[in-house]
Amino acid sequence: MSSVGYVLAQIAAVSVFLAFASWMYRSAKKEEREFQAWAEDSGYSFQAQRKWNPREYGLRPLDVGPRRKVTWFVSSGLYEAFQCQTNIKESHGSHEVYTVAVKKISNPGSFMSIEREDIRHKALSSLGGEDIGFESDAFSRLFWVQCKDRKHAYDVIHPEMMDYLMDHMMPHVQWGDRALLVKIQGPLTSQNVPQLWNFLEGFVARVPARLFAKQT
Amino acid sequence: MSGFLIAVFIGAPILLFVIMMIYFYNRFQTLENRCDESWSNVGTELHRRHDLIPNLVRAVKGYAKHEKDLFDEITKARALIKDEPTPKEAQAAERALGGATGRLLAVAEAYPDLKASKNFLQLQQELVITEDRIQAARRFYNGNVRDHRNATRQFPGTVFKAMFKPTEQEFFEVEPIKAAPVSVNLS
Repeated sequence: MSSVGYVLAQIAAVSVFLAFASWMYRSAKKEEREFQAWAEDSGYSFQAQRKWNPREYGLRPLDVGPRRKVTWFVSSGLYEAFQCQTNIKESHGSHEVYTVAVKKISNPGSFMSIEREDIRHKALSSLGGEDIGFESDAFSRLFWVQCKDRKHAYDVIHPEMMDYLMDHMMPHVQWGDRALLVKIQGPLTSQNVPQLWNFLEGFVARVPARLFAKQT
Repeated sequence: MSGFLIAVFIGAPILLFVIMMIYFYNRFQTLENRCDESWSNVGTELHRRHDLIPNLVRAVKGYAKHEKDLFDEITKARALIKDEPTPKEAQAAERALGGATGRLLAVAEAYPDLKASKNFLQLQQELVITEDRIQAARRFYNGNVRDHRNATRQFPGTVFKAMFKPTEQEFFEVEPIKAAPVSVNLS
């Protein structure tokens, strides 16, 4: 190949790359504009922030997974000692609105996740996934509990705590190093703020005191 | 080509069986280790109980010397405790000891001076905490036994159970000793 041909091939390759990058950028912007319009039409005060970082509290992000693109920080409020915010998750053109509330509290054990069991968890379980089973069949069927320290999970989730969790049926509860998080479906409203607060308080009140005593 | 297909048809099930064999062998080992570890936790908590009971007996003896039969019963129950008991043995021994200690606490109710003594109140508090810890350790142990039983008694675990013969695990039940209600400060 002549040197002119070689240069032309290089220019073509760079042009294709730039065109692709530009197309990616424009589609992301378009998606953001569409999302903003949808959020405003739905009555949310939209802020395209991605600063909220659950890892700051030792929690796991709720927006991870192959089909989950972005968690949009929409609104936040401070209610006494806990933080709550509504998130809108956009995935393949559909929107899921959920609210999380976080109460700062140190965890004397390992990270724990208590999730409502769904078909995905059942499939994982049948493939040998490490769900912690409890003596209550009803509870074990309804919730998917993960914790590296199984003893800690047993200490926290005692029969009274199981009843409490089954009474409230929250979709997801996480206990990280420094915070307890609860997730519910739907936006943040004046009604569900006290509901979230009471749930978190009730959860903490049911954690055996000896666990915290061990920590000090 | 047909030779290759025959090899695949014969080899694939054998390979799958070998993978499952390795998986189930490791699973049984893991579950047995979990049971052993949690049983040793139960043992530690029961040891706390055994250390506490002679102190309770001494405290009651100071006020109710004539309850000789009851003290003898506790001594006999303590003699049943083995160094490394199986869950079944521990269950029988703890039931006898728990019953006798419960009666000891009931006797103590009849002595207001004893009930008010600082030493006795402290021992009762310790007993409440110890019983709580025993119940937590027991729940965890029984949870591990349940997982072990599910793995060995459900298909295809039953097939590999016959092959590897994992140790059968026993549940452990123990009634907590009921102390008179005392306020416990854990802070």
